[in-house]
Amino acid sequence: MYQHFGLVLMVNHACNLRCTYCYTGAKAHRPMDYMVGARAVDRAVASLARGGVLELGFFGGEPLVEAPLILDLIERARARTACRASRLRINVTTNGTQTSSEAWDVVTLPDVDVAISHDGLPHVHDRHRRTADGRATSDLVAQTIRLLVELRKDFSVVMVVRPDSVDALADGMQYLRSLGVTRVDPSLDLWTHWTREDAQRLEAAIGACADLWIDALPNFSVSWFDEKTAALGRAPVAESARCGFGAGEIAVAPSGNLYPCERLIGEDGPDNAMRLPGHALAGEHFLMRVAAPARSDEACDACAMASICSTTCRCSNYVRTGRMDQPDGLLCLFNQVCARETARVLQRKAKTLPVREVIHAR
Amino acid sequence: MRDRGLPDPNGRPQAMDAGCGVIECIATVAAALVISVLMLAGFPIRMAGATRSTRLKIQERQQQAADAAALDHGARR
Repeated sequence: MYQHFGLVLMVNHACNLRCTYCYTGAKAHRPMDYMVGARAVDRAVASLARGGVLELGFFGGEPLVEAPLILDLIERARARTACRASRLRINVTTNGTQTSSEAWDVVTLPDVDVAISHDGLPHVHDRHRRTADGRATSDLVAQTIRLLVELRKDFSVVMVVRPDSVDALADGMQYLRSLGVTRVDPSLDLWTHWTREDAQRLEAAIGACADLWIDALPNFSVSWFDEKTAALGRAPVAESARCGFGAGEIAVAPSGNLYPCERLIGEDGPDNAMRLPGHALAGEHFLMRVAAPARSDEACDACAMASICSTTCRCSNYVRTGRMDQPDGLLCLFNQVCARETARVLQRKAKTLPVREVIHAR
Repeated sequence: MRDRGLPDPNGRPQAMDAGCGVIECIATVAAALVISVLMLAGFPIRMAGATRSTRLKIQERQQQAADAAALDHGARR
């Protein structure tokens, strides 16, 4: 039994956008049947130890095209977790363009952690994130962000970082700050090729973003540096089901097929080597699954920052090298630069921090 | 990137030396205190997945670190 179980439901392959870098495949209208989602929820709850936490995520396509289904499944999850004295955490990742009343019902639920995709500066966002008929979406997403800020809804923004957008990353974060965003989760595009020159520009961008982050603390959060700071400071962070990769974390395609991570579902085709045995409708729980091998690389074993490195993400490793336990140079470089820049700005702050004033301010 | 001490993005991982700035930061008491004080000042540790109970634990630890920092600050003055 798990203390934490992560269940991610891809509720439809469909999406109203055609982002050029999307890795989830064709946007066919293939919605999840309610019973597939409901059975997956039941099995996930049955895999939890009493008092455990179900981390329930909704993914797509664009999940909010199935907002009524999501509301029904949340209701189911609330009832099932309450019966077992378990807790429920819910998250939704959306493109921020769905304006139906049901979609707003989902994103404004107080216990739903919302992540909105926006790539920063409007022209950077609109380069890749357009509707199926080619219309730009940055204004619409910015409008959604402003509304959520007005409603005092806590949310984060996912920024996809690519070679053609990396130079504008820090300016993009500043732009999002100007909209009222307080939490940013930049996400490297791992499906594209990064040259050495791209990597150098990524290094520079990480440095610029780290400066922005430290100067804006504590009112602005950037996951890259938050996580490294917690690791550097040895903060005792809570357990999460994230990266269970089949053991304690399951992603379910609309068809009911099972995967170790939602990022690997793609079009859920018959040749997808990452599909797990079984089906959402067959079985009583998600136990008896063995975790895939962890990171194994001689260089990692010898690395001084191995304990604060996130190259243990099997999904990212698989995307980059075809092996779950093998990170590549890009992931390694990214982690080293994030750790180095986090340390640099923390040490800079150390020289200027009015320790007594900060303490008294509390 | 090798001449900058970083791996080739299209190559294999490359171990970081123990003498790098990151490790020095870990070992520097001042930096650790800064991290603690920043957290005390509202550093958004929830991004690292901290639960309420964990936050309370962290706050307790941070208070100890902050007290030590204040003593140190007072001593230096």
